[in-house]
Amino acid sequence: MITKKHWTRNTVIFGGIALWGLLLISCVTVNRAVLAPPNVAGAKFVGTKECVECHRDQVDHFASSTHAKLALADASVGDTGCEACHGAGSIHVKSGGAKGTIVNPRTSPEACFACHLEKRGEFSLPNTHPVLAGKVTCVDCHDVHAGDAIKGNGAAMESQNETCTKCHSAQKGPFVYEHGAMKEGCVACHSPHGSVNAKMLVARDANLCLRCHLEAPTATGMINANAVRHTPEDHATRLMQGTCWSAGCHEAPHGSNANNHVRR
Amino acid sequence: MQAKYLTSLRDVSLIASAFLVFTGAQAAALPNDVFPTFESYVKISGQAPAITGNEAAFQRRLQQPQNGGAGIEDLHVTKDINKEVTLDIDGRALFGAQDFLGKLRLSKTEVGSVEVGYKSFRTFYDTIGGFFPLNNQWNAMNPEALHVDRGEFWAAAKWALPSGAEFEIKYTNGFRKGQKDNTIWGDSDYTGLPNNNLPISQVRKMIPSYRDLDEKLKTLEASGKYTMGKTTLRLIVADERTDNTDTRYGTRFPGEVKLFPAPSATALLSPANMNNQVKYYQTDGLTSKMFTATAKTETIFTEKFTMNVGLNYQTVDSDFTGDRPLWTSTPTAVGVVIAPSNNYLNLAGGSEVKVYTGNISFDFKPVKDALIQLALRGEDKYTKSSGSLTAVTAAVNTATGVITMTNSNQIFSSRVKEDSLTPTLDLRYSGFKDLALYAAASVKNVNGDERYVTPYNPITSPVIANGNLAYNSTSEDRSRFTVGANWHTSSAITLRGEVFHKENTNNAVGYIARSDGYVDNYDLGYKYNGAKVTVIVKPISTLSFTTRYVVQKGKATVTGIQVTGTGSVSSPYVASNPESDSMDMSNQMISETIDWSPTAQFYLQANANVVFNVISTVYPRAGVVPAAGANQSWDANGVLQNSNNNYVTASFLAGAVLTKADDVQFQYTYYRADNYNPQLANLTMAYGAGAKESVVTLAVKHKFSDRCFGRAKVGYFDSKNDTTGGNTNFRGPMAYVSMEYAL
Repeated sequence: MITKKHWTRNTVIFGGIALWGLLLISCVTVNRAVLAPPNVAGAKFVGTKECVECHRDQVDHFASSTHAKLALADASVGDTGCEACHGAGSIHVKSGGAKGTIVNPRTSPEACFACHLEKRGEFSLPNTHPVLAGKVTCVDCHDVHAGDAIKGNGAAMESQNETCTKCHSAQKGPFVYEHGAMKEGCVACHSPHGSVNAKMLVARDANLCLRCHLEAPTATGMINANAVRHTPEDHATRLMQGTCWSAGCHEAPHGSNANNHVRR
Repeated sequence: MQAKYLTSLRDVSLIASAFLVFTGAQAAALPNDVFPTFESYVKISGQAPAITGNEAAFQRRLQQPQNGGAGIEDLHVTKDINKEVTLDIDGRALFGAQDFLGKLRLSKTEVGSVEVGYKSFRTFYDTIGGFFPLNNQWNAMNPEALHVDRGEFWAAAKWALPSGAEFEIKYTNGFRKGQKDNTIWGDSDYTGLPNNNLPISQVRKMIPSYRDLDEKLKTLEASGKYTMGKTTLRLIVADERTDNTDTRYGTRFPGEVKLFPAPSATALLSPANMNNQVKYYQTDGLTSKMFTATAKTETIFTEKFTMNVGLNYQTVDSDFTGDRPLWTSTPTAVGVVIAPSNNYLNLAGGSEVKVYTGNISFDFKPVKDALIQLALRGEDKYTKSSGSLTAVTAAVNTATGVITMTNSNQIFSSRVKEDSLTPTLDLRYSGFKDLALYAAASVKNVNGDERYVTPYNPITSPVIANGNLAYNSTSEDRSRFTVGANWHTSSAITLRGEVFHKENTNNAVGYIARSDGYVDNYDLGYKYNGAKVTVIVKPISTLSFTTRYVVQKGKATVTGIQVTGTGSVSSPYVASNPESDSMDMSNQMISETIDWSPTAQFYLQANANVVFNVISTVYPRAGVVPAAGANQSWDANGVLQNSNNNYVTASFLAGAVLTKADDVQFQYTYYRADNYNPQLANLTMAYGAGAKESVVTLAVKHKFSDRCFGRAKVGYFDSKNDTTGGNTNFRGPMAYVSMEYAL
């Protein structure tokens, strides 16, 4: 054990010094740069007025967006300028909008992670949308240029669930017996940015459902789960076996076309 | 020894500090001669892992094929046809990952564009069930590795007329096809728990199941925009067609069948004889047509005053089908008989939905740095559904093994009417130096009426029985309030903070007192309070620390009142089930990101997230169930425990220039969840996530010429999963190479 500690300590100290040395050498001998993502190499800030030429719609309505609340006070960018998120735009402007010359959250989430640090962690979890794999992007679900970034919030025309059901059409319904939880929104039960639980569930066990369906027990030891007809329903034995939506139980949590207890 | 160690650390720290200051001063002076971005290029790549352990789990976690893959990772061609017309081509064809893209876009300056394309990608899944720790029971499905392909073809055109009018039309034909895992797990008696110990069940639901998806979605959308004076009008019409056939396959009590004749006592029975195997599949079909028409106007009266108005009309006409055949192994005197039944034979029906939505908002800027936005949204929604099914039961004569089938044709329906009104207020002010303030409030009120008829046989019950009919009056109040600020205290420190409060009250009342006296009342209320704080510290221009703390605490209550009695003097209403705490939750997320670019030749990004998330119900305060008859007393607190969803993630990325033609990048990611408690298995399934994962990669990018780059990456991954008892562990090296060539 002691040997292992020495190995670790020495590795940190001497390996670190070697790395610094290597970098010092490269600084002196190589007159070339490498950039951390998501920066644009060699670009300079040009200001939002240049962006208007081609992206008028985005610029004109940005004042109504969630992100306009934040005065990103970087002197070189200006308050909430386009380049605060998209990076310096001089090369993009000069090239007439060539691909790869601007930071584009539609192709990489790095620009969003700069402020939303915790989302990087959530998208690293085992159960998440494949954002880090590049198959889904932040802007597939969020409109960052106008209105509320969380679609369907407030007085927006569309409903919040439309963000999810545009891909997950089987969960959209309509159902003969809609589960009331759908009115709370998909995010009532799912963490769309990622979860430690399968299917991005907020909780993998019965607590997921009992948050809204657990009533006061009428006898000691009773787990009185209910919602439709408020006769005491002791679920203790059934919940020993699994979750509320296990086989043979409430298998249709999004809504049912045959059973008002969402058993199908 | 300790002193020597500290001395060494001090020396290293001194060197680091000196280097930090030195490089901080140097960074601005260096040129940005990096690997250039090509206007047109093709990138070819291949990758190959060598996995030890569960290959299906590897595919799901890394979203890569276990046999590797290769192909064109990225293709982009830009060509000017003439001074006004440009052709853009994008492509991708990664075999193995089955990731494809083909896009062609033709655009003419100040006229518009035409675009056609196809893209699809594969998402990998593994069909895992539950692991039972008391006897190390693990049920793997064959095959374990599943996948779903998702893709779409699209064609779009945009026109911009000299008058300023703009038109756009887009057709999309998408699909989702394949198989994925499911969390609806089947039952098993193979748990090692004692039999015949009711009400403590020896059954645990841990047999995996999967869904077969065949979903199609077609949309045709046309939109136009025209500005008349101070008003800009947008019109959008859309037609959407859904055609889904999804099937779930599962098994309950696999391999089990009861003895015949049934023994008088089951305490000593083998798990193989505790229950009867049931194999089933469930098909859900849905075809729907949705039409949407939307009109929006924006009128800029003055620089200080803007009005937006929107109207939306939507109809949905859907048809559903379904089926759920079951095959139950049934013991008889002549042997085991497979009894076929079907709870939902020939399930068929349809729904009609009409939604009218309107909103209006006023943006007012009383002074240069202030914005007041007042908005109102209203919606009226009506849904009408009906359907029919045949419930088929199979009665087995245990003496002869003869099966008698009985059919019951049933009908059902529902009508739901709902209207809502949502006023919102948004305030922003940035008139103070380096300080921006904002506040928002939203209050949504929903009222509705519901009529539900659950499946009944109209032949045997010409009058709908009380138990099959329910009328509800519903109401919801949802309010959200947010106050926040962004303060640039100095060039080195920026502070952002936001507090929020969310409060919902849902109420459903069965408002017709039925002849059997039932009147139900269901109240659900919940409140959340939270805050988000971000601190950005930049001690020097090349180094920044970003810290974010998000906290949210919530509480929910349920009041389920069943009122018996008719309300008359002789039979007054009697309420039961008073308000009860149904949930307490707490979520705290602490995140830190460090960005450091000490020189133009080196960068470092480090990120760590620590999350404490717990959801608990009123239990474990259930108490001990007293002994009764043959049943022993037992502690119900063990059935429902808190849901702990804690985890830690960390990532480290460092890149550096090695030579004039080489860059190197090192990356490390880490994930740890420690919520798995096998002790819970005595009284429930131990679902808590417990896992530990590390991935380390080292990549080198080499410039072969001004038109050609190469990239090679090697890595090693290690994943251990406690929740699955180690049955989904995997580890091994991986390699990746790519070549990018300018066209």
